[in-house]
Amino acid sequence: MSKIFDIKINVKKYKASSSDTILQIARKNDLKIPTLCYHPDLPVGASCRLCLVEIINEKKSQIVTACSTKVFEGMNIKLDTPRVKSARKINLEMLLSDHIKKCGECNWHDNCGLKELAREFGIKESRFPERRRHFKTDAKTPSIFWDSSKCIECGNCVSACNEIAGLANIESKYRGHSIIFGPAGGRSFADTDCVFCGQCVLRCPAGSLQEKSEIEDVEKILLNKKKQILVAQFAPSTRYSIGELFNLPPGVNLELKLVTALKKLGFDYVFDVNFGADITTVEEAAELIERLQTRKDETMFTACCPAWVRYVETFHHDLIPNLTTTKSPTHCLAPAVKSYFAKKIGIRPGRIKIVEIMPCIAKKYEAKLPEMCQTFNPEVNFALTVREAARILKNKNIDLPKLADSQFDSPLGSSSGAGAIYGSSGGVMESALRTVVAKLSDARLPKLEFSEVRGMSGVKESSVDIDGEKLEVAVVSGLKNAAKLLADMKSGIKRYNYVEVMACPGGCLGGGGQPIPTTPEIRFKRSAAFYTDDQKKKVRRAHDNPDIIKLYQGLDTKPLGPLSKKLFHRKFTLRRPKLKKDNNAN
Amino acid sequence: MGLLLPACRNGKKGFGKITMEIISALKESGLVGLGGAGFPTWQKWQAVKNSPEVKRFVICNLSEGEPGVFKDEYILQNHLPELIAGISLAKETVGAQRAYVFLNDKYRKYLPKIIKAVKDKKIEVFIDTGRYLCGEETTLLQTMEGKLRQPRQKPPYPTETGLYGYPTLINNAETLYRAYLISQGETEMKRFYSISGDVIDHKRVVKEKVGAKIKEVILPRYLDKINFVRISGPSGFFARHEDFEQIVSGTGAVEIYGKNRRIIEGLIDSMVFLKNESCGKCTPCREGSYRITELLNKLITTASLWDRKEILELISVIAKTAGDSSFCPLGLSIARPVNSATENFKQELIGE
Repeated sequence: MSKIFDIKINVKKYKASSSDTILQIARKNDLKIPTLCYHPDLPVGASCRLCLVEIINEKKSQIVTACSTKVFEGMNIKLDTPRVKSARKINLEMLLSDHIKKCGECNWHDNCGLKELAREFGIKESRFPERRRHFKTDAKTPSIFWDSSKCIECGNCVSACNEIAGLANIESKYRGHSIIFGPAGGRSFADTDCVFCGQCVLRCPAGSLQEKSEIEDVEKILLNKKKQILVAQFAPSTRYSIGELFNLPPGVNLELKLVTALKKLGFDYVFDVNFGADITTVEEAAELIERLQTRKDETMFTACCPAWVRYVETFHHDLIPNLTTTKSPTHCLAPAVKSYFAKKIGIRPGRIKIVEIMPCIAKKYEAKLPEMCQTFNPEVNFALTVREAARILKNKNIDLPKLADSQFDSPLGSSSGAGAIYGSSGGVMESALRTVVAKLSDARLPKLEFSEVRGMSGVKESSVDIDGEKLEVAVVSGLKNAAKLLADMKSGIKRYNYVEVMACPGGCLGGGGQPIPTTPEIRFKRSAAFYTDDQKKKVRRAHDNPDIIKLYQGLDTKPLGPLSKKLFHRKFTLRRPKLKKDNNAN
Repeated sequence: MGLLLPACRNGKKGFGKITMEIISALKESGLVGLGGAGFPTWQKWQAVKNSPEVKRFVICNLSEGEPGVFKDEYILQNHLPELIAGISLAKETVGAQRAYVFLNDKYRKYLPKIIKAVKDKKIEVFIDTGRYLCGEETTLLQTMEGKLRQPRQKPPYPTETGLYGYPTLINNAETLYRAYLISQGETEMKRFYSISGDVIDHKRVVKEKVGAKIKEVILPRYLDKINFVRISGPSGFFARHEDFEQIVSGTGAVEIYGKNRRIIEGLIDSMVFLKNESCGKCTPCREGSYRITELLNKLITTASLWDRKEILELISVIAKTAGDSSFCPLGLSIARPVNSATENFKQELIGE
């Protein structure tokens, strides 16, 4: 039923169909309607009541929320009538006084939808006294900071946890004006089965849910360097999204300017986590090849996503042996820095402090895991989200897009195209396949591009032909989709040799630490940039990266060798679910 | 008791009339929902009947959560067989396999009587302490499905996507009772009005024509003793003598306030109720009911006339916002008590 018809908005005619909402048509045509709780990734909640518009008909005009109202032929909509403007303003004023203003000390001020709307509406003070006298905070986990005094009860967090993660770690408590949203149980995320994917944080319009800040810690070590050597390293995704916080469109590669910026801040060396991704690829491909020979009927899963790993450790103990033991790119790079590089420049590893900049909040949790402190304690000293890194640059008035380019430092700064695509769902898979196929196939020109595993779809499958043998692979992003895939695999409907799982929709480029907003459109634009750069690289396969070859020579080891196992592989921990009822919310 | 006609006793093929005739009869009678919303009953029945889905449900809404309304209890006490017959009639007409009586926990004492009356009729009773909002049909469905007690978006309507996603006919108990009477040839359009409050000897249910005026449902000997009335509970409006020509709409409740009572009491009572029953989902109702109540309490303690005028202004603006932009009927109704008080009782409110 997609007949196209005309509707009127503010007197002008626009094309629409009966499945469109007023807000969708407005956004398509760049017409402004204020929103707060609306998010294209979530089912429409329509709880904030700010996107009000007026529908004019002969009898009586009707005020509706644009996000939830579908259009009909000939609908006559006015966007900014006095009635609508008055209602929006009162609703916003009431929301502001439902929220204790701590803007001065709050880290959400670059991301806060509430603050932005107040600025747009010109509201400085509310006529109502702040009504939340009792509030709760939770800083017990490494990744999340919850402050219920900022909550405006939009319900996005519950929706994100249920619909994207497929879990039930956030719920509402009480009702009416006492209602609050927070971790299940009402006290702390540490009491829940949260895996720190951060999709809730990414959709909070008022800063009640944020990443746990490490901005002060990092600013402190930059100020007070003493004899420390400061190393910065950033993820494949970081370079394509950090520009969004400096008014650039998504997908602009700012890696070389970010290197300059980090040096300006005071970092001594800047390495590329894409190089770490090449290490991961080389190790993981070797492990896959070994398992194809010794454990042919078992599926191997990726393990570079800390939220996914925590999910398996909690809910699918039987799959722990199926995870690859290879560590994530940043945790392959960090021990390489503190061993190989430290030796090269002749300093002891203890003096090196590594700061990583990630699109992820689970990385904060990963960096503190005992498994990630085995080689050096810790391997990564501080984990910042892309949002935090931008804030640190802005605190020092560094205008990122205007800087000159600088190269990454050698010898851990170069990467192949395979390393560059890690941040997009399917990137890890394609990266590993390039190496696996090259090693196993006798073909003169082994297959390089695997387009079937690319794209923003939640689940992608491919049957890879290696000299007649078939390798069945799948790529899934979004933890709820992963749960369904696991169910299909356990019931026998689906069988794969190798599966890539990312907890965040679209892969790391949709991660909990990315700039806000992160929408399907923005993720798509970020994604395109990875593959464009991959095509421009001279070296497309991880094992062909000359610096990778030098690394292994310098360490006098090879993939899966004893030293590689020590530096680049890890163990897992059995975790018990904390919430009593079945946490898989579907 | 003697109203049970032979048609009912035959069970499945009991009613004898072709179902389309029942729906035409309902249409001709002009019967509308008597739970407060007043939606044409025949349209709801028709919608479920015409659904492409095979599985359907009927729910008798006996939530009766509005203070001052007790007509459905009256039906439980005095007309239970006809009510059950009405539910069965609805089931037959719309082709539902199962029906439920959504019973407010405060009427638990009637449970044995109801269970006996629904025996072998594929009608079940669902008891809930769910409070006022469960009378709103989508919140009722949330409650029955064990979900968060907040209303759902409409569309889709319960007649399309109802209990567990299936087409569901939800009608107020009295509506189903009246539907049965109409199917038995009743032509007079009457309804029950709940009269309570000060001044009268005891609360009572009065049977009068649909669309009766306020002065027509109160016994004449009481009229002089009344200061003002509240029509249709906290979600309804206030009226004084000059307005007694107005029709008793909504849930048909008339609560009487005597000479020693003030309008501010009535208004605070309404607003406190709405504030306590708000589910908290949407901004204008959750915040608005809180702020209006807060401001009303401030009004009582404010001496300056100018300040009192300002407070009333702000209350009116918030009420208008809630009345324009709330998610569900509870929030939307906030405007009614406030507007009726500020429009018809302005002097008392400012002067008090």
